[in-house]
Amino acid sequence: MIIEASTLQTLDSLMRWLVALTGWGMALWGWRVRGRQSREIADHAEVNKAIDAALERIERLEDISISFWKDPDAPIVPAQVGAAVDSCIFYTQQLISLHPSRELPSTLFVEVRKQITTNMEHEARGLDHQRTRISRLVRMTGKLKREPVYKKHSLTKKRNPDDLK
Amino acid sequence: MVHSDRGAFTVKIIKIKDFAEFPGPRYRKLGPCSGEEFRDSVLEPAIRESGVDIQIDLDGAFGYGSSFLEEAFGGLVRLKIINAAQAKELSTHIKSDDDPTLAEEVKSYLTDAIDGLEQKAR
Repeated sequence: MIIEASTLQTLDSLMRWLVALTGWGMALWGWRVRGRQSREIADHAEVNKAIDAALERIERLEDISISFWKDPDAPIVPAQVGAAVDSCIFYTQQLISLHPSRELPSTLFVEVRKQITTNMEHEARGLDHQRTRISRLVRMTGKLKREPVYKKHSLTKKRNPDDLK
Repeated sequence: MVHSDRGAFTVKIIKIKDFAEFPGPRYRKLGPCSGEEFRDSVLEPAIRESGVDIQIDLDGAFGYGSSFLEEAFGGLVRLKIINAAQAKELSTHIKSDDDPTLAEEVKSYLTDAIDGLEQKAR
């Protein structure tokens, strides 16, 4: 009887330890998962913020270049247009530094800069002279905004295939 | 202009920022620091002295317009300062870490200028 009681006590004690350790293990695992998820969400939020900033620069470039070419009296100097292109590239590079698997759409940026800044110092401005250029630059900036580099991350668990790269 | 050792050779490095921090228009008559001026006063003398064994560093200058780049580099081919083979070699000597799209654009102007000359020759 004494031996049986002692065995039961040991088993009881073992069970208690087992339950306690399992509890600790699960808590630790949950804490790590939660930490990883929080980090992922924070990273994605940061990348999304950088995407917003880069897209805003492209919108600004589109506005400034359309005004420049459409209106001969627009108070915009050529240097502002050139700087606006540089700014878009700089903000896109900042975004890439946060998410290095994304690629700078170089060829499209080259085309956009050519379309916007070629002969901007001496060609006649105004809708009559620059209708084709304006149409092209609107199409190109539109295409640029749809490039994969500016695709936003979902903050929920549903994964973006690009994230797995 | 800076010289740098690349193996046994000494490579002349042309930094555009030494010419202009803010590159200007296509032609001299349109304003200061033009592509034409850069080609005539910096690029051409360097090429006459060292051939195309030079490196052109586009970093450090801000707000390049396409006209500046086209006139400076495409003009080298149009004015026959360099031939097609030299243009191809030069296009591999363009450094642009700040904005990699600039090097790509310069290459496209060199290629377009070669194509233009070849079409004229036919």
